[in-house]
Amino acid sequence: MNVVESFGLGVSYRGAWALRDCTLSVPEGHIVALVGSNGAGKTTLLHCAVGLTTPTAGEITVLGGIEAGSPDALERVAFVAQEAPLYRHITVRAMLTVAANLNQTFDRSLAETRLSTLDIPLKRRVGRLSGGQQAQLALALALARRPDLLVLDEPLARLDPLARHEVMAVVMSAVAEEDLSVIFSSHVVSELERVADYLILVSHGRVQMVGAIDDLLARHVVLSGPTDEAESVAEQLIVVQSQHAGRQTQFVARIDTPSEFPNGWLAESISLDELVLAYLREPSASAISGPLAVAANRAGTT
Amino acid sequence: MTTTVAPSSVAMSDRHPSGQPVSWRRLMRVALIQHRAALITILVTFVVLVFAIFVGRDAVSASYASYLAAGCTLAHPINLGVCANTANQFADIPSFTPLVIALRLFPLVIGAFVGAPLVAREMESGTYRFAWTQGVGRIRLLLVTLAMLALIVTPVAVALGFLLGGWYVHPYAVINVAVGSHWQSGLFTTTWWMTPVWTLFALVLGTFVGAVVKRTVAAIAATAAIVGGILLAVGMYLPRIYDFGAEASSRILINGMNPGPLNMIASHGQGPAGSWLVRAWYTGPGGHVLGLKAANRVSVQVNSVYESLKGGASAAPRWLALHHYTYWVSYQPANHFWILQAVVGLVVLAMTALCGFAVVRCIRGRSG
Repeated sequence: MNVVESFGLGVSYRGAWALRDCTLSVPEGHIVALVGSNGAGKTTLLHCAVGLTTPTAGEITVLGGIEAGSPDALERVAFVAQEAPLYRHITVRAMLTVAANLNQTFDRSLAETRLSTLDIPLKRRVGRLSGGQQAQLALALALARRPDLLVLDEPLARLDPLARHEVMAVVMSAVAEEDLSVIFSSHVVSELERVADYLILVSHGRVQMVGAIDDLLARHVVLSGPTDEAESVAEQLIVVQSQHAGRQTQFVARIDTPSEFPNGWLAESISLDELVLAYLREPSASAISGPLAVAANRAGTT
Repeated sequence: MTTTVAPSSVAMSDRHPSGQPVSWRRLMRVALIQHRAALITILVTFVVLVFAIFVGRDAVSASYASYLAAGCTLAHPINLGVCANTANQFADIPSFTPLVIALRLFPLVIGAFVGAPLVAREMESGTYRFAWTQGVGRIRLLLVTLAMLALIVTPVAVALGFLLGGWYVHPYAVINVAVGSHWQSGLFTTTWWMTPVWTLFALVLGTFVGAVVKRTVAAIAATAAIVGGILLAVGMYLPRIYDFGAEASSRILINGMNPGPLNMIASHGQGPAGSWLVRAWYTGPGGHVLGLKAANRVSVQVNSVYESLKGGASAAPRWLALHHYTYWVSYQPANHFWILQAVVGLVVLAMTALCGFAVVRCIRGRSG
């Protein structure tokens, strides 16, 4: 089952496309990192997935074909929005009551246990909690809904390193305890690398790369060699990005089939950081393209 | 890297077994928590108005007591001079007009300070991203919240209408002071029926404006302006509304016998008791309605005849009959009052339903 599937998804605001031609599928059971520069369309994509935004074009479904934003989907998808917007004028306890009464399924004791573990007092007003505590509260509320899909929009953006670590620990613990799929967005790749196993890269409103991170890393290499041979070598490879420094050239290349590299060229494995940066620097490059690629992707992961 | 996913302790489909919607009682509880400030606004406005009504009531009671003590009644005004003076005191009671204005503004207050922030504040603060992604769904949440607020403001508005009506209606009806007639636009829109109707309209309209504007303060200002404008327009155009279903009589003679809008309570001998005189006109020998200039000329002649011939009240009709003119007055009989109230109220309720429909459409399509 795919937890998110979109076909030709597009969203435009006053004529400008925030997201365009987005076709992808995300298999269940993954922790998915949605990466992209600021304004790339990450939030728009997530808002479509949770039903906050109605697509201008195409369609998006969740949890095996349920229309995003439908009552079924809302009951099974939990969302923590950017900056964790909560009712600041009420207490944590009242916030729990609000969330409990807005959902058919809500494990209040689970939420209270998490908050107690994190030393977040129930009597305190939400607005008086620190940024990290508010993020933790929002996360606790989302997890108490016992969702099948948890969607987090830049959950770590405002947090200090310790709070980031704690938030991710809670997410990882929830994933370990429950059959939960997670999608979370960020523009800081380093913080995703430790936890995510699936990657969606969005750039300029288009999905540029989708796949299991291990698979993507295995399919890309960093090649270094003499500049005077660069042109001929580039013709034999799918070059994502090239950098020339004097007599030395470095390629980030995609290798869809096992291949041998030219003599005198050094092939090194690529880090997730390098891979993402390479694609972000070359918006025209793509590791997926259209429905066929999605189908292939799906076949490869099931 | 690969994350190892532990076996599920709870199967996916078993987590949400019921498929039943969240009960409205639970949603009411949420609305009570979320909109405490709105409820306080309603309560404070109610208490202030009730207090003002009870304070004003003392002045009315005192004047009414002195009116009765002087032996004045509508049927037997024993001492006309004293009665006229006492009746004038009624018209001059200082708290009356401000109270009527305050009650007319009650819907505006509710629309601006309860309705407008309802969605606008969620949009402005971003909390809509929390509220609208919960299992209940945004439309159901909005409808239950609106229903809860409606359930609270409606009895409050009914109570205010009853209190004001109960306070003025008897003494003012006995004394027959025009300013206290419930046909006056201020009182017509503040009965126990019209006050809640306008309040509900303002509440839903404010919610719609808030959903469109998405900024709390701007939505409050816009709602106040729109509701205020509509109430003002209704006050101005109420005489035209009174034209609908009005009856006409050639037996009602008004002092001066002027043509045009009258907008006055039928005083003793000037038409059926409790009726509201709407407008007057002249018809000529052929039964056709005279234009304003011609009607004014006739009116001037009738008045001069009335004064010069000293023929009393019958001189003018005799002169009119001699010249084949007829003076007509249209009026709303007393028993039309609640019919008109019902018609106008239902029109406003229909507008409320339209606004509600617009809010739902707006929220459903809202992308933030």
